[in-house]
Amino acid sequence: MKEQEVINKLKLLKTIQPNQRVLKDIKQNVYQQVYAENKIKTTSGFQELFGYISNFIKSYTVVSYGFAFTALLIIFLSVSSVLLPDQFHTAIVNGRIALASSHYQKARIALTDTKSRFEKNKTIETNTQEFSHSLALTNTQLNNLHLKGEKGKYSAQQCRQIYLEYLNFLKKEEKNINAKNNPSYSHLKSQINTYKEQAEKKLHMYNSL
Amino acid sequence: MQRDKIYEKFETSYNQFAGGIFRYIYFKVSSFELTQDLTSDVFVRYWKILTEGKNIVNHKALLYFIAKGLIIDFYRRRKNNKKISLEDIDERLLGVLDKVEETISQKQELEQVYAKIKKLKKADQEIIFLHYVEDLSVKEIAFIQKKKENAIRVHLHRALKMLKEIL
Repeated sequence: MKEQEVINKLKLLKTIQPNQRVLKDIKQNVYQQVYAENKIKTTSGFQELFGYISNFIKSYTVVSYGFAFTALLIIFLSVSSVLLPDQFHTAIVNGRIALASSHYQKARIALTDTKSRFEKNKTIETNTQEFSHSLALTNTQLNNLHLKGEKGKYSAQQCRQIYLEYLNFLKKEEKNINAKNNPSYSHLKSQINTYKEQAEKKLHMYNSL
Repeated sequence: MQRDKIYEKFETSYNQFAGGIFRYIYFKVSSFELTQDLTSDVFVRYWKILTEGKNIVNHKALLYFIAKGLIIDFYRRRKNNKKISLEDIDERLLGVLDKVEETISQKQELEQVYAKIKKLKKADQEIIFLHYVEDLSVKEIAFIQKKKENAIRVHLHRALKMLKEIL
C-alpha cells in the first residue's frame, strides 16, 4: 500500500470523537472543580491569615500591645498637630523639658521657647494667656537652678548668664507692653514686673558669688 | 494572567482541542467513562497552569503532554495493566455519522485500521496517532515525548513504514 493510502486510512480515526453534549458536560465538570478549589483556597487563605495574627498576638502579647499603643500615639499626635497646633507645641516643649538632663537645660529650653513666642508676629491681644503660661514656666525653671550650679551639669557662671539674658528679655517686653498702653495687658504687665524683680535679686546673688 | 483572559484562553483551547484530547485518551484507555474523567482532569490541570501565569508557547502540545502524563498515572495505579481491546468502538463516539449503514461500514473500517495499528509497538502506535490523527507536528511531539526532533522524525518514518507493511 502506498504511503498516502496509509495516511488516508489513518485519517479515518479522526471520526472517533464525542458529541457536543458530552464535551459540554466535561467542561461544566471542569468549571465546577475549579470553582470549588478556588473557594477553598480563598477561604483557607483568610483563615490562615487570621490564625497567624491570633497566634502572633498570643505569643508576643507585650510586643503586640506595644505596636497598638505606638500606632494610637502616632495617630493622636498627627491629629493634635493639625487641629491644636498651639497646644501641640506646648506639649512638645513640656516633653522636652521633662526629658532634659539638668535644671540648666530645662531652663534653657523654657526661655528659648518663651522668647520665640514673643518674637513671632502674633499679636499679644489674642495670645495673652499663652504668653503668660510660657513666662510662668520659664520663671519656674529658672528658679530651680542651684545658686552654685551642679557639679558636672552646669556652673554658677552659666546660671548668671541665663539670668542676665532673662532679665534683658523681661525689660524689653515690659517696654513693648507699656508702649501699647492696653488695659487687657495689665495681668501680663504685672507678671513681667514681678518676675523682673525676682530676676534682678537672683542676678545680684550670682554677681556676689 | 487576568481572570478574563484566562477564561478566554481556556474556552478557545477547549473548543479547539477537547475533541482531540478525548479521542487520544480513548485510544489509550478504551473506556468511554474513564475517558470523560481523564479529559476533565486534563483541562482542570490546564486551567491551573493558566492561573499560575506561566508563559505557554504551545497550548495544544501542553494539553497532549498533560493527557499523556495522566494516562501513565492511570496505568500505574491499575493492578491489571492490560488495555481493553477496541474491536467495538463505542457508539457514542460515532455521533458524526448520520446513517446507520454508514455507521456500520465506517465502524468496520475503523476497527480494521485500529487492529492493524495495534500490531505495532506501543511507542510506534502513539507517534503515528499523534502525527497523522491528531495533526501534531514533529516539534510538538518532541515536546510531548521529551525527545529530540530528529529522533521523532526518524521514529515516525520507521513507524509508518512498519504500518505500511502491515496494512
